[in-house]
Amino acid sequence: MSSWKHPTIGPIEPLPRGMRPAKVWKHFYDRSQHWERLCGRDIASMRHETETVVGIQRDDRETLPPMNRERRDRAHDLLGRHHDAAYAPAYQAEMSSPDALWTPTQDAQHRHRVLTPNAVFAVVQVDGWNWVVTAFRPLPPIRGLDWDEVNIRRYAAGYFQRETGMHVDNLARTTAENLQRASTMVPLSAQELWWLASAVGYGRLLAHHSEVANALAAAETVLGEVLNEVVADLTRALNWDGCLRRLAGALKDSRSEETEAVLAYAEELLVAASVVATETRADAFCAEAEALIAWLPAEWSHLLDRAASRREALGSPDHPVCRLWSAVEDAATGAAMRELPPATRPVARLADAVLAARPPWRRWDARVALLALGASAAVAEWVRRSLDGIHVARPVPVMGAAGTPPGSWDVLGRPAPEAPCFKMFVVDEANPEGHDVTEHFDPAGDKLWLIEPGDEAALIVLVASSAPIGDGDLESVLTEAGRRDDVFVGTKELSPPR
Amino acid sequence: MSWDVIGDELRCWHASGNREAGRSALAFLESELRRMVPVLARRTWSRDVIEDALRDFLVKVIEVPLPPGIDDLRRYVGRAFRNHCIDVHEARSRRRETPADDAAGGWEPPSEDGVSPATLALDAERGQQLRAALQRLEIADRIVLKLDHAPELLDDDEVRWLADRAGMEPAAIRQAVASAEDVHDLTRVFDPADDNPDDPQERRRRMERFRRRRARARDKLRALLQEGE
Repeated sequence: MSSWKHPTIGPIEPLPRGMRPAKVWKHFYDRSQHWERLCGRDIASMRHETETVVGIQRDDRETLPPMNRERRDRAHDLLGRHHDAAYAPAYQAEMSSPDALWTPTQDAQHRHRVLTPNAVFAVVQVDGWNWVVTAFRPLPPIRGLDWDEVNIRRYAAGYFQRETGMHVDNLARTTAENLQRASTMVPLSAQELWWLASAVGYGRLLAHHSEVANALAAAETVLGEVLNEVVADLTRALNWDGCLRRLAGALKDSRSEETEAVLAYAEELLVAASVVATETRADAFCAEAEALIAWLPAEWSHLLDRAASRREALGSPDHPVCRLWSAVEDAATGAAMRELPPATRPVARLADAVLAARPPWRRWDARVALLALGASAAVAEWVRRSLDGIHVARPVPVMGAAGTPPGSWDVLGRPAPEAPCFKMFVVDEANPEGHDVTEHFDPAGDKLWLIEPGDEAALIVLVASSAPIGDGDLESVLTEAGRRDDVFVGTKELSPPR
Repeated sequence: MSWDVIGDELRCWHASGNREAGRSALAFLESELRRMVPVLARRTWSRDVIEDALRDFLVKVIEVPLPPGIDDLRRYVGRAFRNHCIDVHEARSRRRETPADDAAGGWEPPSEDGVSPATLALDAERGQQLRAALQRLEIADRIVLKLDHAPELLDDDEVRWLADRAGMEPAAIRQAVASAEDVHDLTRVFDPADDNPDDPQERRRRMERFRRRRARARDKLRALLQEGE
């Protein structure tokens, strides 16, 4: 991979090798960004090839999942090759266009930002050497709608302005222009309504500027003429859950650029939603987003300035968008606070217990914890009811046996009615990899297991789905469960009676 | 114990199974990780999420050696813990997103995080500026921010200031902070008026007053930061 030389900034290296897999997966494979229109390559085949290795669909998840070493190496190799062959040449060609718009100066984080004529937004880090940090095509926060190049460029131009010129006068002028542009016709589709809703949303926030107020009145009139079905279509398309998932993913990144992008996305969402959706939905979104944003790391303290500027520019303290930016300010301040030396240190309550010898089956418990909530409510309920019914049977009293230590205890249970497909395993000290007891878990209520007096405990793992589950050991069944979205896994720990 | 030596202690635990090294490293780590949990997450997420995530994470620390080549261990571990907490929260509150394959598995290679030495230096410099600005804030502003974000960080001077204002003993202030169940309880430590805590309107007014006070403190902090740039 070679660098490209900017006339004033100098040579700019492509994404560093370690960051390539995540960016290719997140941006280049994102169908809605339509990179195939820029690079002319068959991205669908590339995506499919990688999905086969990774084991999940890109559409289901924006970040790469954890993988074992062998799979991860194969996936990263493929992603790296797709970067070199198609993604990097596309973003480098775009960035080298003489019509690309570059920020004239670096920001406080020593970064330049650029918007290319074909709507690629890229960030370049300048720290001794210059390198691309991210390159993506900004899109409105709505799902299920495909955008053509004209609309992608229109959106990206506004995005670049908001990201790089936060001065309130610029914002008011741009908003007034957007209002005029969006008021020329009554929108007939959710896509057309998006522009009007966004313009009116920002217009209402900035209505105290005279140039905005004049344009806003006309836009509100047009808005009043939009058919209810069109409003309902846009309301349904607002990507609340997707935005929260993106936020959670971005916060896990080591750098702040993806979080900056998703916060801009969330602002757009809240602004447009304030025009077409209910306050309740926005409040619920803000409540969830606030708890995630609270995890902003102290290293991203520059977001304090950005959030304060946005909040001040948009005014209106009661608006959800100001709640969003206030949460960012709070989080950035809170992160800095937590860096101060503590007067008293929190007590370590877990360390001793964790260090004590852990039963081998605990690793299954931790693994299942991340899988535990999937599948249909009916299957999940069946698993819970079936596990509830499993118990350790007390020995039947025997004449003259008082004071005699018990032998072993039977573990009994039967499937709850209307059983789906299932597999059941028992894990204990003697069977750390799991023992398949599926055939003993039957309506007759057979003995599932025996607990001996010396046993510490055993873990029952019940895997169920409305569709068949493949044969194999616990490892392979849980691996399969992880790849499917119709499987529910529940566990129950059993101890010998005291 | 400190971040400077914990890496060695953990290596000692993994290499020799030295129980004392493992215990002291784990206790230090747990204490540090608890500090890293934002107050808002403690208040709004299920308590189980944080405790379970913390337990899983500590187990991973003692079972899987950290990878070599970590420049800033605190940052690396802090990020790994943050990500784990978010994963657990996501898995429980929305839907399963983590495949079973190696879900509890290894550590992310530090070389893949896209953080250059220059970025580390810049972040460290900004962090230092921020801490300096916090120290230069007036005591009342600092207390408001600490109460909201990290009440356990109140130092003796700040506790004395609150005690004088409330006409209470410092120990009683510490006790009130420790037993506060929400921000409203904490506002009563800062602003001990006699409004009725059970009256929703009075609660709202008090919270609004505290939010405005906090916003002023934050603005002053930003102004100090900009002065320093």
